[in-house]
Amino acid sequence: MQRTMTLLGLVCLSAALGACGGRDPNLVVVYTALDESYSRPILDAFEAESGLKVVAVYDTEAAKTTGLVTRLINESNRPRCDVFWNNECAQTILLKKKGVLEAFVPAEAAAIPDQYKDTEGYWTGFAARARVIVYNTDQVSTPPTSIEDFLKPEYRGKGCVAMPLFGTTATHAAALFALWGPEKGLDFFKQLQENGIAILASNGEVRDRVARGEYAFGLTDTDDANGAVEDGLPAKWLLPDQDGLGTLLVPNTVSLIKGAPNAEGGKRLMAYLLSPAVEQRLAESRSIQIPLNPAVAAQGKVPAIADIKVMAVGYDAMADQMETAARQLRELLVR
Amino acid sequence: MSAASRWLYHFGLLCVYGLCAAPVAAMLLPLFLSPGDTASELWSLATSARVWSLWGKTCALGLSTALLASLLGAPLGLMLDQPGFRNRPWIRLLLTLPLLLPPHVLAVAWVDLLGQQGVVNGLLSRAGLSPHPFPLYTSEGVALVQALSTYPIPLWCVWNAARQIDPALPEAARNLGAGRLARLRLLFPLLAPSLATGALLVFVLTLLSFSVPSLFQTPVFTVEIFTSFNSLLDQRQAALTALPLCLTGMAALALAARLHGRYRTNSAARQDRAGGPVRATASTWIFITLTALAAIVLPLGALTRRSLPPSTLIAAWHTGVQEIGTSLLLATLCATLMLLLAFPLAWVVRGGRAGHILWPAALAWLVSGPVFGVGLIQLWNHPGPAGWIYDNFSILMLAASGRNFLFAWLGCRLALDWLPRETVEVARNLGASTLHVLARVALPALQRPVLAVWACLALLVMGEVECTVLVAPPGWVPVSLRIFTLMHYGPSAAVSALALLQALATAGLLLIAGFFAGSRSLHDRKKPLS
Repeated sequence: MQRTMTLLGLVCLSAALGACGGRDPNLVVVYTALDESYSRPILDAFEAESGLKVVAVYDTEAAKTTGLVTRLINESNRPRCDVFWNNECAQTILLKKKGVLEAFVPAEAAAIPDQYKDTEGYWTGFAARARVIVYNTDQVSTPPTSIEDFLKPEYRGKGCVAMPLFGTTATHAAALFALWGPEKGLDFFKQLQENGIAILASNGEVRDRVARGEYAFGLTDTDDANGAVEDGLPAKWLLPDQDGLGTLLVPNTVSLIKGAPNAEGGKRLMAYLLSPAVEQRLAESRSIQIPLNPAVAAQGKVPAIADIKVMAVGYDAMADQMETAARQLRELLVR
Repeated sequence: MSAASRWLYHFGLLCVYGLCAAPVAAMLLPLFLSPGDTASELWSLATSARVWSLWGKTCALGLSTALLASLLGAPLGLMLDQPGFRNRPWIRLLLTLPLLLPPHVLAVAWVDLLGQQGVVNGLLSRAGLSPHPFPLYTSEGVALVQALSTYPIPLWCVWNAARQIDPALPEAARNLGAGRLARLRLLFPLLAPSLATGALLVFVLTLLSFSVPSLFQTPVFTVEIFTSFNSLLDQRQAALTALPLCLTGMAALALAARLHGRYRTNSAARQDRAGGPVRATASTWIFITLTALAAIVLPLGALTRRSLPPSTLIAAWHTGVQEIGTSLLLATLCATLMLLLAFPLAWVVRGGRAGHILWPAALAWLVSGPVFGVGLIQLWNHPGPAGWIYDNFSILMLAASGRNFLFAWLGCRLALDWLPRETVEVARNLGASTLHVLARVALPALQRPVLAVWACLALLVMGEVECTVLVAPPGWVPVSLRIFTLMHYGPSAAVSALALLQALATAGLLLIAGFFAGSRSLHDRKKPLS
């Protein structure tokens, strides 16, 4: 027994020490918040084309554990990551403010409209999701067409949204705080609560429970909503507030990390991600991400960017409201 | 204490503090660099009615979970100690299965079963009865799901305590005509401390849980901590917010330690009970079957149903084999290393107070995974040798071992209770040194308990995710982390399939440990003491 334990102990130490070693110069490390099933094929294609090896670290929104952003902030003195591929923009902007990013604008970014890029070149947006209303077709024939409809008495207790402290719902909350001001923004969520609108754990849960008929409608993202449609569930989605304040678009963002171990490889990856082929691929995937490059044609269920009335809120202004919105909504909802 | 024992003690202590206390200190120390700000933030935390309300709800949830888990686990622990109970090891393993699955995965299975559109309501509707949705999305639902996941803890505590009771005691009571209830009244004071210890462990586990309450829309204190990290990007506030939970957990663990120390029986582990086999009663079998059905068969069935067709399992295996391999490697290495550190240390301080080892280990677990993880990054992510460790698999080992060392320590302390004192005294009288007795007497005699501790540690590491999510190096992703990542976006079939594969892999590890435990015993040892 003691010999076995000693042997095992030596093996452990050897394994631990043997795992130490230098980094491959051809390795590009990308931290990506975009779901693996969508991002992995794109990264594999880049590997095949470039000859570089790409290792991705994925984020988790499921139970809202601390994510990639916390990691990037804490690793900023000695980064492991070369490129940050976020599936939203507010936290990318917060990383810029904390000095974690390095300004770099690939040539491919020229095709992306200016409103989806950082003015100082710290991040570039591409392939956006929209905040949409998903509804159960068995339960509702006239779904709400505006987020403010969630407050109407006829929809009392029938709707749901994800917790606005995390993910794109937090981004949406910050956008409303920026657009309406913090008072009206907070009041909106108070009224949601008073009208019996359920606060669920995630956008995925909103999708699942609306599709199952537990709720008639909910607020989620295009990728989640389309998933329910493609699965053949009795669900449809619509772009809210097309006659009013507009639909919030949440672009993917790509940025170079300051002090990246392989900055050159990272730049090549960034250029690849901003290429029309990648936007096309994401548009054709189950997540139906909306191309921001006008040269990429929207097909099928993907709405064309020119056809969407976009919420008129600057992403910088939205990022400025993230902390205020999070603090106030936590006071309201977590008790 | 001999020189060698002193050396071992100091070296072990250094390792424990480096593994457990250092990351916590790296995270908490900056708070004390600006005491003014810290004091005002602590004051606002202490005077917030909302925070107190959250704390109260979290404690209430912990207590109800502990009570439910004990009501389920304690009778099972007693039943499994009945003399001549056939196939005992296998039934113990079966009833421990809920610990193999991450609680949030079990929660998803229960939603499938008891949710508004779940299997139970579907059956009721088809039978023409009105569906009565079980109030799953409440604190009661959280308590039920978590109790069904954690009842093996009080089960093992009570079983371990029952094993240490002199069999002459209940036999004498039986011979004097005492009924079952009277015998239970006799045994209860002897079992109560262990039962309380198990209940307190469940209480602390529930205090720290996040995923299940979050899924069931139940506000708990851990949401405060995660919001500070994830939404406010305020690590300072997150660390401060973690302190009340940490202190509550420490108080619970202190009570558990006091109960264990005060009432620890002097009789060491016994041989199997003498006497012929006695058939287990029908009520025992019914209770075990119902528990197995509720805690194991139904949720695993729901997961399997989600994983169909079999091609989904095969696809999950192909995509997840690397992660499963990483988890198995991590679990094996961490469990072994933790045991190599904890057992000799527990031996050297045996019989004495060991608070200075218990509390750093407890702190590492109680501060919450993200706080510990950030502390690890701040401690190790520097140029030079520290950076080499941070960039590789080693950091995962440090994360998982540091977080779970508490259980290695507690397990080794419990295992040492099984060592017959007479054996140690004989060895000492023959002139054997402390370390000699450890290597040639204690370890061989405690093979089975030590392997049981190893298995528990491996199980814990297989499920570790809150800390590893922050430090896992690129390319080294444990399967528990992959499941967590997929839970939001991934198809539920793929998530369920991976969860089943994780459970199978963990069961495989436990079976290997069980094989080694069953292969040799003290009586097989041929070499005499020298």
